[in-house]
Amino acid sequence: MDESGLGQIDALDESVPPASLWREAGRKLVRRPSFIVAAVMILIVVAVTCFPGLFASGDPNSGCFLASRFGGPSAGHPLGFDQQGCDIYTRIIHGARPSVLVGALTMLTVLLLGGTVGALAGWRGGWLDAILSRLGDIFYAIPTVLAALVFLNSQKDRSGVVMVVLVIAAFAWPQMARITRGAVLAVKNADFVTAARALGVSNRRILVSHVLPNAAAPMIVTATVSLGTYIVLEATLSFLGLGLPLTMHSWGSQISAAQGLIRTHPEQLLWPSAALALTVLAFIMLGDAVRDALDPKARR
Amino acid sequence: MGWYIGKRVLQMVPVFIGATLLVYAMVFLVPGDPIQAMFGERAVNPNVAAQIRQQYHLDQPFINQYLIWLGGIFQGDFGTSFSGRPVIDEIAQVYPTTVRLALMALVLEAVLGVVLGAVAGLRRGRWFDSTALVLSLLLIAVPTFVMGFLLQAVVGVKLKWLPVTVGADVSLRSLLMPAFVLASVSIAYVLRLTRTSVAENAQADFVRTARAKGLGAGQVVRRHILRNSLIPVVTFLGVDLGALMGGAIVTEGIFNIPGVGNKLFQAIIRGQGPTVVSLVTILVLVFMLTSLIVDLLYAALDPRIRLV
Amino acid sequence: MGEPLLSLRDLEIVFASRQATVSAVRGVSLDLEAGCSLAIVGESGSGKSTTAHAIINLLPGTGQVTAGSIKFEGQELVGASERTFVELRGAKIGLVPQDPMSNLNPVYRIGRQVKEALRANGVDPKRSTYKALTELVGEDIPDTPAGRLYLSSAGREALIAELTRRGLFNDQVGRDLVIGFSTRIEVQSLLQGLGLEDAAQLAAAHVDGASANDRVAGLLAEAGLPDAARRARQFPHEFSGGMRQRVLIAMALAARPQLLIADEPTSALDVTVQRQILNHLGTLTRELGTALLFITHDLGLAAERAQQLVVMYKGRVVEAGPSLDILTDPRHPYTQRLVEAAPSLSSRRLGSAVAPGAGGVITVSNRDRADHQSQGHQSQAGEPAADGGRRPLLRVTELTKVFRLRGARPGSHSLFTAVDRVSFDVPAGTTAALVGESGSGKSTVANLVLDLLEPTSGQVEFEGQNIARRSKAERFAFRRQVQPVFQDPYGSLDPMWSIFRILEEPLRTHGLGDPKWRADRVRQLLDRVALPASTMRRYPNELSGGQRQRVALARALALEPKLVVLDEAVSALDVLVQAQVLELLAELQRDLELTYLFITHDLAVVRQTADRVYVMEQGRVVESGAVEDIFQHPRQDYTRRLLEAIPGSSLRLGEPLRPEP
Repeated sequence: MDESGLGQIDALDESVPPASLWREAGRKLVRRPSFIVAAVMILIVVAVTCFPGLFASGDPNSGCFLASRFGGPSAGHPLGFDQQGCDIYTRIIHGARPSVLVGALTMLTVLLLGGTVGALAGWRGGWLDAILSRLGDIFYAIPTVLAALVFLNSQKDRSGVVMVVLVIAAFAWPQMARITRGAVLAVKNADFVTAARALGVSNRRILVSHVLPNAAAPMIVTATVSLGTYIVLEATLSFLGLGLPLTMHSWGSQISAAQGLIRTHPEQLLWPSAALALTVLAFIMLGDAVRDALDPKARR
Repeated sequence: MGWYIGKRVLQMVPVFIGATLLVYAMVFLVPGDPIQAMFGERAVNPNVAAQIRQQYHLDQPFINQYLIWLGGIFQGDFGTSFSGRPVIDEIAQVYPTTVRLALMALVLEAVLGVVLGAVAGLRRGRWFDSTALVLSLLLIAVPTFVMGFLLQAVVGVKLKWLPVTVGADVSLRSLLMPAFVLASVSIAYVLRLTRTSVAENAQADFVRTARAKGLGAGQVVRRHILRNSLIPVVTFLGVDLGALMGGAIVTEGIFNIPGVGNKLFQAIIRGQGPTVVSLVTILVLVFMLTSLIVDLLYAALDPRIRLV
Repeated sequence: MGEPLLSLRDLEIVFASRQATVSAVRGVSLDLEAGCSLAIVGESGSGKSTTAHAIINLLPGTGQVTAGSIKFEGQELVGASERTFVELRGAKIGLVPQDPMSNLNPVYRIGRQVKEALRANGVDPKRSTYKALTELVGEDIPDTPAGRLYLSSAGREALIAELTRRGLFNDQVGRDLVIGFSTRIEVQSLLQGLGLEDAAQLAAAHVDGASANDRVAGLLAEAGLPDAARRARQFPHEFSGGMRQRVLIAMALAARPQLLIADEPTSALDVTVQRQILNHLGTLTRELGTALLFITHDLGLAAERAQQLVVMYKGRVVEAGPSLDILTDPRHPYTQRLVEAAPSLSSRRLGSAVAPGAGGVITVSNRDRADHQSQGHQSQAGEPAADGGRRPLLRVTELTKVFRLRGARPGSHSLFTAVDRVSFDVPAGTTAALVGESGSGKSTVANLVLDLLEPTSGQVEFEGQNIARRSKAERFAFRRQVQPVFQDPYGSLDPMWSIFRILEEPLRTHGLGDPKWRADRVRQLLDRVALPASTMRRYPNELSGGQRQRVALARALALEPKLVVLDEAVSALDVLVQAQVLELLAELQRDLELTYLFITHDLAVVRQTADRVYVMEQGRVVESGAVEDIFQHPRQDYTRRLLEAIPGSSLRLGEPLRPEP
């Protein structure tokens, strides 16, 4: 038979441009309206986090006059004033930074800690897996909010962003470890990993360049969605009075301060709540969209 | 199965010891004087302080304190609170309320989540599905305390349908709103889980075979799609019940419900170390026990699962 | 004959997605007479399964019939209501699906799932309505499918008690009385055979309709499931693939449909099981007078099993007619290529380095050693190699691999011997084939040869050196000499990597050349496997199965190895692509003097590729020898069964052929 046999019968379709899985996922993403909405919202939140001065001219702590207590919206004060006579809009703008900062830093810490532990457990297996899994179980068995409350209560004077991040991450990493471990196990015995071993590629290189990139999709999805939940966690802790110091005016403490006014001034509660919920919604929507785009079932 | 349970219980021992040690350390191995913390700003009578110190072995090295306490646990002694009552009595007083609230939340999750999720899964891509998905996103995104205040303001204050807070009246009616608030995030998870699972099973080969056998659409949905889809959902509900039994600090706080969560929060704030440690220990035990039961349940629901 | 049972006319089926509509079936027409058999043959994507599913309105996803007509018993089905189809499915048209592993609901017992098929189609095994009717008329129940009465478990016990009392009962009689399967007429003639004068009365008294459970057991027994009554209480995961397929057949035939659609019913099964099940299916449909619509990718299989063939290619019927006519005189170029390529019908060894053009060049000494080995003797490691003075490139001696399987109790375990004292030699430039069914240990041997697993005992020698006793550097160097190609084209390439990176990885790992040289080499490699250079910028998910497999082959060749281990490397490919890849392999062997260790379950492929064959069963080599020897004079039963199982092996091209009796 002639040389052209294979070229003819099983010809490569050269008309479509080449696309890696990531690029393909990216193309799928930008076609989704929910991704666009989430991305725009997140961009705004990030901008507000980085440059609050661009959005609100005043300082959240100065410019409070008891005279304007509960004052309604007016020029330059679109949302009115709170019970101390401070501008609500300014406070909400400045409340974004602590919330988003805690969420993002916690996510990174968890990704690093949980990802490393999970990858090691899944890749090495055996006794190391058993020990790391039990270690994860220990932290998983205590509810995160509870553990954070107990710990932060004993560290009241030193509370700050770093402390809150560390305590949430310390009890939230097992979930990421489980997901990473599962993803690594799923790839570990793939034929392409065996092929790499047969080529003489070193163990560590296989883990870093073949296994982890293929395990990344579920990790990224979990990380995005949990960023939203960490923001909620910080707000919950601040709401309970044990999160960030009051001077940081995080959304959680703003809600906490307004909770007594639910019957008389519900709008005081509404604004910080809305800011918090929308931010969280943006990250969860993003995670959702990314999950759908990376879904291996939709690939072939 | 006996071997499996034995193995699992054996695995629980290090987890239990690790978790309690962690909590014990967070409560007692802290800078500052726990007794001073207990009395707040007031001056402490040195004699009283010494007595308490001895009673709670606070004069001993940390690890000894822990071992003495752990020994007590294994004998069923959960210690005495700083107020002098056995901790177990204090727990017994608040636990029924929490159990009632947890079960109500679970029922809401199961009913709302499964029904909405199943319909959405069967009509994937249509308007009901999209609406259910958006609803679930909102439920997840709105934090519990925001949801609580929102419902209090609208359903309680404005419409006056349900009582705003619970207090001493732990009737089903007054617990309905808090139960929904407590369940809200899980409703969304159950909904999404059911939806994915139903949509996946609807595409399964065995469902096509069931249709090829001549089964009608209703029978196929009930006997093949729903039955199989409920396996992961029931598992999730089981794990969630374990979490709900731990009490809900935020929800019980907002609605002023005398449950475990409230009790625990008060104990943490007031520095009542022994109460905190014992309460958390019980929660850890409940959690580990429910996850064991969930595993057994999973094996019972799915004949493919071999317990090893 | 009058009107055909099933008649398709100009059928068009389209899959519509948001981006595009894909035409899957274009203008297909075919006729199937009642009680006859017809096979649709085509490769994946030809539209054969889509056509079959359209008949019972079970098209997946967005599939839709857009034009044409489907008539069953004269009734138009295109545009019919779902209710019509619910009534039709199971009762008049049964479906045996493709993959036995996924087609049974894992959470229900087998019996329940078969019973569902009876219930859904209103089958009453007790025949209560029917009996009442005949009583009214005053005549006896005739032995028609609708009136057939089956032996119940209670009836069987009573009958056995009666026979035992008369001293006539024996094991054979016990075996012949099958619950839910033996009919009144059959029992009567059985009893007459025992010389009983009151046979008719006895049969009428004891065979009076079975309960649904009894009938389920009978149906399963009929489908060839041993110990059916007990088996019915088990779950699908406790069954092997072949047994599950029997359950699916029992289910499809439960309500005695007029038409059975069998969609690649055995493609997922081991070859010998495949043959048993197809034989059984053929016998059953013939006995019941059920028409059979058989869907397959295997031309030989189709010709063997069906009277009529319809060959489909890219959604169109390219040729149709009586099976033998098509096989002996294919008109359409596609069919001609298919006939040519079908490994089941070919017996030619593709050219290789040692035996160019023809197979069967085997030295006497070689055959002698094969005899020794099959009798359990081992060849001494120091013995000079026999193949015309060639040293064996690979020598495997007494290779054994035992796995420890963890038990349910802590500390308990069982030992599983996957490979049991396997010995063979592969001379340089030749192809040795390890043949066996799943679980025979052939892939474990591959992994041992590749040094991916440690042997429990025995040794693998490559170029005279034991591969276990080597330094790290030597092990690394060994990787350049021996390379694998695996079965699954979807799993063997990292989906995250571009083809260029995939092909460059071996070169980079072994520190060969500079970037420019490596880029040139990648281009060369792609050219070697007949892929354009532009492929290197693509990713695995953009390639077809055959293209991926060629990339995997190129990767294996990148380091210029001496030995390539082909672990089922062509099994997952379509027939035509498979034939081309086999040609390519032969060509590469000739040009590069490669040595192949070919691992496969497919003896037909072996005949085209191998010089020597080692047949493995349960971890052992049970027979070995030159290819032609094994094919002409198989010594072991197992080998014979494997050979018989080659689809189309009963057909001899050029000889006058008769359809199966």
